[in-house]
Amino acid sequence: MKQKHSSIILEVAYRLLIPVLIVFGVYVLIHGEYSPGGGFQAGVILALAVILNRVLEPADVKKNYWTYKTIALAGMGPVIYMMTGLLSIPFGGHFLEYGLLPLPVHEVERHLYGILFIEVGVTLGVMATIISIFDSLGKVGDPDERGNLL
Amino acid sequence: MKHTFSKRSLFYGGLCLAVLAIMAYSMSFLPSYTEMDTPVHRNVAERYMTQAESETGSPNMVTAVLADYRSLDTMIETTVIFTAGVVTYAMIAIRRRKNYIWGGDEDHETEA
Repeated sequence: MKQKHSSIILEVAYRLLIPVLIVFGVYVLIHGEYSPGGGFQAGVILALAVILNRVLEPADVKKNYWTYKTIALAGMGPVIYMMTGLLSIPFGGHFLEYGLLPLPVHEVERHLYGILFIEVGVTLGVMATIISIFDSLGKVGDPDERGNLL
Repeated sequence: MKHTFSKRSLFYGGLCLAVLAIMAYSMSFLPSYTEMDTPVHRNVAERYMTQAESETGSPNMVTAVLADYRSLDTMIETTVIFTAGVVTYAMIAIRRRKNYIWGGDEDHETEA
């Protein structure tokens, strides 16, 4: 087995913690209607997995400056939310009226899918925002060849 | 090193303090915590507790209120978080590049 890190603690954290965090984040998102949890918490857990990855492998942090793409992803979160809200307007509903979403299920179940869609948007927004804040802070004093940090 | 504030930052700081004062003043019109006759205790709480599961299908009442009854509020919350990320990025990146937002009369290091 090739050991990637110098410390056994980092190795165990990398191999064990990050997959568990990702699976648990998705679980908190999907299961948010039935148990404690939801979009905000799932976004924080997923962002923690990515940030742990960047802390444990600093070389990758230097290489991948994702901030533009991450902010674009963070903007996709509210866009998904608003699109879910606008989707019910052509079918005779108000903004964010889940009962009239065009889904072939019972009306109460449409509420569940509507909540799930907006939670996906919230998760994307929160996750990408936290990652972009981490990347922005990591860029302080580390300019590219033209001397700016963008 | 002597630190001085520019007129511009003093203006924006004063603006923040003024908004804070207005908000603190308007908080005095809110009902007190132990008052049981306020609309929040009389109108919607009962309905949330009894009707949330049959109306939204979600057994979790917190999710039902957050994502269904008050979903417009949650949408703006997501936008606020997105704004926080954009502002962090803008402050760190643009400030180091040109001294562009914070005025030219402060002693930041411009050369990178």
